[in-house]
Amino acid sequence: MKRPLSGCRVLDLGIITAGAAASALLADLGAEVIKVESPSYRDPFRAWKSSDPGAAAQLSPFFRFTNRNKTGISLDLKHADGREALLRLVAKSDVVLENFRRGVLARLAIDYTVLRAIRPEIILASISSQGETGPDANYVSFGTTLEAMAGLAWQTGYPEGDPTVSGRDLNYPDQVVAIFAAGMVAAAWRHRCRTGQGAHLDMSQRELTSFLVGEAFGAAGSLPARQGNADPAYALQECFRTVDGTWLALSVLPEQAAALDALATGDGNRAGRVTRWIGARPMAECLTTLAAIGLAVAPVLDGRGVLEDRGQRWGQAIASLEDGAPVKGFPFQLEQAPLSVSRDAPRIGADTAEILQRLAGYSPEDIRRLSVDGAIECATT
Amino acid sequence: MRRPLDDITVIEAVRDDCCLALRLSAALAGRIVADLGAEVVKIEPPTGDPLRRMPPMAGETSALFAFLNAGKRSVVLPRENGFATLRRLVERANALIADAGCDRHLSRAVGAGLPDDEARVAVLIAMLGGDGAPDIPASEFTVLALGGVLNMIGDPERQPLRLGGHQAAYAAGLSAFTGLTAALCGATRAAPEMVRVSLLETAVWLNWKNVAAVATGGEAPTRTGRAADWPVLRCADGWVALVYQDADWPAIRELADNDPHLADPAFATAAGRRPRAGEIAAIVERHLATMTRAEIHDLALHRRLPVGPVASPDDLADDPHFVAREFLATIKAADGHGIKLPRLPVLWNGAGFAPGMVPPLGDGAQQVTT
Repeated sequence: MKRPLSGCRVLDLGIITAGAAASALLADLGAEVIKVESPSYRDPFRAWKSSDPGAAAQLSPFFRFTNRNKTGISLDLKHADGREALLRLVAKSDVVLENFRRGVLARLAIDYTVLRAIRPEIILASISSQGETGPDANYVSFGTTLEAMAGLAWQTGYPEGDPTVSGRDLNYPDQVVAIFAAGMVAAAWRHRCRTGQGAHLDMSQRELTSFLVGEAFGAAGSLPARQGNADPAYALQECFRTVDGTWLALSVLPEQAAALDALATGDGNRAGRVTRWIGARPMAECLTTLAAIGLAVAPVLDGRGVLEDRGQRWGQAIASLEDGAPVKGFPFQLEQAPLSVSRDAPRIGADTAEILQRLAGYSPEDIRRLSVDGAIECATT
Repeated sequence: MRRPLDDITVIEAVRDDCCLALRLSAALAGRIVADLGAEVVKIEPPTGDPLRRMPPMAGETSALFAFLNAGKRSVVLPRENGFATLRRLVERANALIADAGCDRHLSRAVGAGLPDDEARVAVLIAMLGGDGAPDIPASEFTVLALGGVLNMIGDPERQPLRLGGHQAAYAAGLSAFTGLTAALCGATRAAPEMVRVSLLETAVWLNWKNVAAVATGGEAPTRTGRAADWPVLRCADGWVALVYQDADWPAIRELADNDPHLADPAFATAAGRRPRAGEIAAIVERHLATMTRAEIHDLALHRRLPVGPVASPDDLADDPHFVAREFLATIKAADGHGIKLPRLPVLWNGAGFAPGMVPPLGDGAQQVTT
């Protein structure tokens, strides 16, 4: 079965999560994704590994998670010959994806105007914190910054408490943008196939984060701030501690409240009665009994618990390499052209020689010279 | 400019008894493709989508419904032969966005009446994924519990917290959008492509770092509240997320008026600061108390510090950056009043996709008869 993005070649200048995960998803959908690094600038994720002896020789797990299904090349874009090699590849590619700080592409003289002159139908997918234009375009941000500036943190938190963010280990805005950006590139690729026209996609993570609380803007002025876990659609929604000391999440629709009241009897308000009822019972009993009366209920799992649930309540989100190593899987799946992981993340410059020969017309002699000059870097095998 | 999906027709049809979360996911995916030019027909029960009555409200209108449905047409199926009518609509459409409980014959019928070279895609959204039937009922909230997201948010000594709004449903809505758009690029084929989306698969995918930490032999991270590396602190007129990298430490010390407590040599390295993050937060917060968010914003922009002032949706309505990028649009709601909505978070060759009107119930009736 032909995969949705087969025939689409992507030069992936993406780093860390937002850019690299977006292009990983494009690779899963069948695009040929070439990760472009530089002898002087690696994807910072390569360095995120443990200090254990032996770890130094291995790929960082986070890098492996986010860069499987890609080939890898290393070109020094600050070197005239390295930049020339990139531009020769641009002439044979369909998409360039990047999430550098604003201004970097222009400084490297590889901005949209330059790319389009070489390849008129190129799609440049730019993922940035704040977007290409506007007074905050150069505002440096991480995911947490964006949650604060986009309106999400203001709505997240305990009632009467401080605004709250998803934090560094989750970093919500960086994850969601990868899904959205992959979808926008697919839309641009389809447009290009129909019309022959390329596009520059200017995607702002702050805007996406605001878009994902989009209903708040229409109701601004009357919108309640932080409501903890409560939701107006539910009679009760909260986490409760079981007798085991673990947390249980419970959502009770208005029409389900009577059934819950029949179970958690006694004095006081509903939340108090449920707190006592759950607090006197182990997790397993709570889950069985509450699910039996139709309530949405679940244990609050940590990463270990989530992993143990693999194959039960979820199965696609994490994939495995041939050696069994876990890597990023898929946020959705296609029945006829399934997304799959077929290759490990590339070592630095693993495919430089092969790709420059196959796509950019360099001879083995040229490649040796460029390598000696420091314009490119080839993996030592 | 021609919109990229202007040749595509999409039917958005969840079952009448479909749960709230799946309604939200399907509607978000529909909203995005509508902005990108697809003709999106939303099937509603005779009493209207329950989202039409869901808060937050803008006067008599649901801001939630308006946000999710701008640019679509609304169709109420006739009381008699409703399913046959729906099937006819689906057969003439390129795509169906539905909940996973959708009738199998309906999802297989997508585009059956179209020429052979037209793309055919059904997107089916479920709460949980995996191979088996769901063993427990689920909500957005319990999906965040099962995906390990709740565990990461809030104070360690208090109950876990959800993210504000409808993140579990909307993130899955993004998955549905991307799955649909990619599948539309695929080769045309005899049978429609089925895109399987679940709220839980998406939540686990988003939370991969926590799963990766465990899968590669580490400890499972958990929420750290105010002791987080990057805490949210009070300032003179609100809050600010104190985000910084190692290289920013001198600038953070300056932000705190070079407080002598921060001169502690133990704070000179990230490793030295991490176990005492709560202490640092308290020191910096004392100095932030004299600064407004606007002052912190300007300083951060100037010094290239990733510190983030906390904005409310009210604040953002006239945020100069959002105004310059025309991010918020005012469109006409069903009751004729103007309502503020974000445009799609992308500029295509510098131009935004303006959201369409919010459909009154049944405004697309002619879609059924023609």
